[in-house]
Amino acid sequence: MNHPDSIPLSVILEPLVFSDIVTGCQDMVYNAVLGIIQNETEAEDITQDVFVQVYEGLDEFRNESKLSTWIYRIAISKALDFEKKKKRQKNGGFLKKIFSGAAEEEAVSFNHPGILLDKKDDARILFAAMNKLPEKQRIAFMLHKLEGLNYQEIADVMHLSLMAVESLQVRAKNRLKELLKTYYTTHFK
Amino acid sequence: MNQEELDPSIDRVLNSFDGAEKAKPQPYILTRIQSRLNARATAGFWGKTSAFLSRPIVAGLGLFVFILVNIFVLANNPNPKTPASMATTTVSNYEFAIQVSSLYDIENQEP
Repeated sequence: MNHPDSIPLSVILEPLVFSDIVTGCQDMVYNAVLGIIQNETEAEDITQDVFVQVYEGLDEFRNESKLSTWIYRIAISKALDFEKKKKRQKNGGFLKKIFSGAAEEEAVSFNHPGILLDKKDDARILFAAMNKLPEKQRIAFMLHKLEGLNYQEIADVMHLSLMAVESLQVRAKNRLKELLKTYYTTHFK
Repeated sequence: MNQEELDPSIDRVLNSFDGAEKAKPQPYILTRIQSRLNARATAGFWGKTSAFLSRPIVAGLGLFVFILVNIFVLANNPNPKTPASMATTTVSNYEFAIQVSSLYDIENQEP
């Protein structure tokens, strides 16, 4: 099977090649979406939406960036849209949110299936802390740590300069350290 | 917890994604995507139109335009009916009014 980035644009537009794109990128898309949404069922649904948009938008893909970069962009924007929509729905139950703090509990309990068994508890704490980061810092950190992208690839996906990505990573790490320090000092006095 | 104990714990949490494998979606995702694409293709004109109109932003924009048109029409009405002209109309209507009898009057006519 060809890697999606190695397929020429003229060939990509043939319907049969679409199945190659799905097979080659499904784990990448699902993993990125799952890192943002932190819910397996919803992540799967969004993954399908992403590929529907990829199929419908293939004509507009101009080969200016790598196919995987373009698909990453669609996946991240879909996941963020979904997250915003979900937050808006939760804000509808304003009183419920104030008294129960349900959103916090849900985030803490997320268990990523790809994390090593002995690191699962720590990863759960890290996911909860990541949710408190500003959006760009969170995406940059997630793409680097969970997706394994280097800074240049992250810069391409996020339409940012290399310097901006480096700065985002440093700020994300520092903020996470602060958040984790607060977590440990309040939970383990 | 003092600083010496804290730092290793924080580093351990920050590095907890190391060695993580990519999560995999359920099998047959391609089949499900294809069925979604087929459903969209067979939705037809009315299906697509209703889906488009039911988008919150489109519906909201439509309502906004509707209200705006109403305000525009009310503000720019060239021949508004003032209360005085309405009163004249009412008076002339009374002048030409025909007394309508009720069923009781018709059945019990006095000689």
